[in-house]
Amino acid sequence: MANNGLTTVVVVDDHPAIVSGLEAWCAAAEPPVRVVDSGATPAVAWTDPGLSADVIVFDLQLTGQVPAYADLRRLVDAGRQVIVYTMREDRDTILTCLDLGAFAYLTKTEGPGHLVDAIQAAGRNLPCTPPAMARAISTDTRPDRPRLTPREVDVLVNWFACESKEMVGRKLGLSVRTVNSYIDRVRIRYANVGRPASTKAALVARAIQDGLVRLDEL
Amino acid sequence: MTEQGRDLVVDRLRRGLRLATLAIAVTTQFAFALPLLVANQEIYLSPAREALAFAILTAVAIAAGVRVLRDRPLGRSRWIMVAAVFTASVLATTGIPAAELMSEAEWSYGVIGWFGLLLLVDHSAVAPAVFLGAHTVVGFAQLILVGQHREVADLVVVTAVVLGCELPVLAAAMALRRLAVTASAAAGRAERVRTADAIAEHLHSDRRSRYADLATTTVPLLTDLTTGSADLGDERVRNAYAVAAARLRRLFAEHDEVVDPLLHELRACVDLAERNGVVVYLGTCGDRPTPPPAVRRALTEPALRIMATATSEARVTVLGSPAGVAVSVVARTDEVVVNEPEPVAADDTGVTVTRLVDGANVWVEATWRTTD
Repeated sequence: MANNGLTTVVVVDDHPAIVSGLEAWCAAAEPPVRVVDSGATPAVAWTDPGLSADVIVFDLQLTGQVPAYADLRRLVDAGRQVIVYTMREDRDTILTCLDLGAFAYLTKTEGPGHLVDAIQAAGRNLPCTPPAMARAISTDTRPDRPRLTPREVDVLVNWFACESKEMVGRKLGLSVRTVNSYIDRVRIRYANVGRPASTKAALVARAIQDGLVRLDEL
Repeated sequence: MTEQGRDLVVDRLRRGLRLATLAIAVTTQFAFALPLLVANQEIYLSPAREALAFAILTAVAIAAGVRVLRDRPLGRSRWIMVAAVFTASVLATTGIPAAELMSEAEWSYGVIGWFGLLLLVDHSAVAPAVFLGAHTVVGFAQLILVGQHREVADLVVVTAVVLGCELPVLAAAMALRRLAVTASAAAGRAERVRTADAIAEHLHSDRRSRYADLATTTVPLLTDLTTGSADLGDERVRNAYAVAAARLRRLFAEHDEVVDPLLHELRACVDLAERNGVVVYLGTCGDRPTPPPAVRRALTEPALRIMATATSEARVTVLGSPAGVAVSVVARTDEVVVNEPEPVAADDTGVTVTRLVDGANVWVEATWRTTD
């Protein structure tokens, strides 16, 4: 999807300050990220120039009190890469969005680094698990959840606690690469369960292609 | 305790009164009435009826006496016995010729009243009074009905003598009842005073122990501040004050009634840093047991110390699992303080502290395991 390393983004958020902040973060990103359009409703992602954007940054909590799950589902069903970016931090909302097929879930308390990383990962179909998402996965108790090993839970919890994969690696005696692979493999297993979506399938396919997971592991 | 105290006082007085009336009733019956009954056998119309009346009273005296001695309530049988006493009175006064009603052969008149008191004195003030009144009225009515009008004056004298002995007992019973109420109220007041004393004592020792904690940490800092010997230009000195201030906030938070005391106390620890412009993220992960207060203090202590040195941002997280709780802090701090070793936590709480430094970031985690 990305051309010449440039990732294009459309922002669906009803707060102008968020949009401006995001534009500034993207402008400073390397490799480059460009915000092509923004608006307070999902309509902006369905019309040009937002229609052709690689990634949608989507505020789940638009005007109403109810999370906009239906809008999220429609975007995912159209094969769009959606990063949910919202105030809500509760586990069930995060897990619901992942099940619907959102690429990643970030809370607005998480800094620019995580959001730009997520946008770039989404542009390249690489798994990305920001800290709040790691927490939701590590505390998942639903009966049909993918089973995690104690080590995987340990890595996810520490990643949530310190937000630095280098420090997690040093604390647990692992390389950053290993820490990343623990987190990514868990993400792939989550992409492989629940409601089918083309974006989830693409994530899994890319992971198999990259040798991150083997087919028989899923 | 007040309730029990009152019951104790009332019971003791009531028992004394019942024993006294029992003694008087039995003495009157056997020492006064029995000799008269035996001596005047030939006068009675029906000696058998007189004997029956005496037997009934004896039975009542035994039944009531046993319960009084065992300190049991008379219960429902009280009213059966009252009826039996009245029956005995009727039998005794009808088994004697009308002309002899005011002679000493009529042995029952002075005895019945005492039995009324024996059966009713612990019930209320009204019941024995009604009994004595009824007995007296019936006595006079009977005398008039059998045509002994001349003897009414004699009966007045006898009644005055008999009631003169019985009514003081009744009055004493009422006085004792009032006394019991007053005494129990006094006992209750004394009890409340003792409780208040105990609470005050406890509070005082609590404050003393807290003061003992502060005396070694906060008080020297305050002393330095007042004497002007504290060098506030020194980063370390300012940190010491920040730590002491945060400890005080935590101390206040420890006495709040909240659902999640650990998070509440942790919030108190980071509050000061937040006021000083540090951006603090405070999050939790997973369910966790609530550790005891000493453990919570050991868990929050490293966070508290790091927060005092945090310069721009800090991430404080409470990580729970069924096996234990960890409090993790990642903070951007000054180089100077980062190199300072973390003081070892008190061993008895079982809290372990790990510490990791990465440039200006320091990551401290205090962990407590329930299974240790």
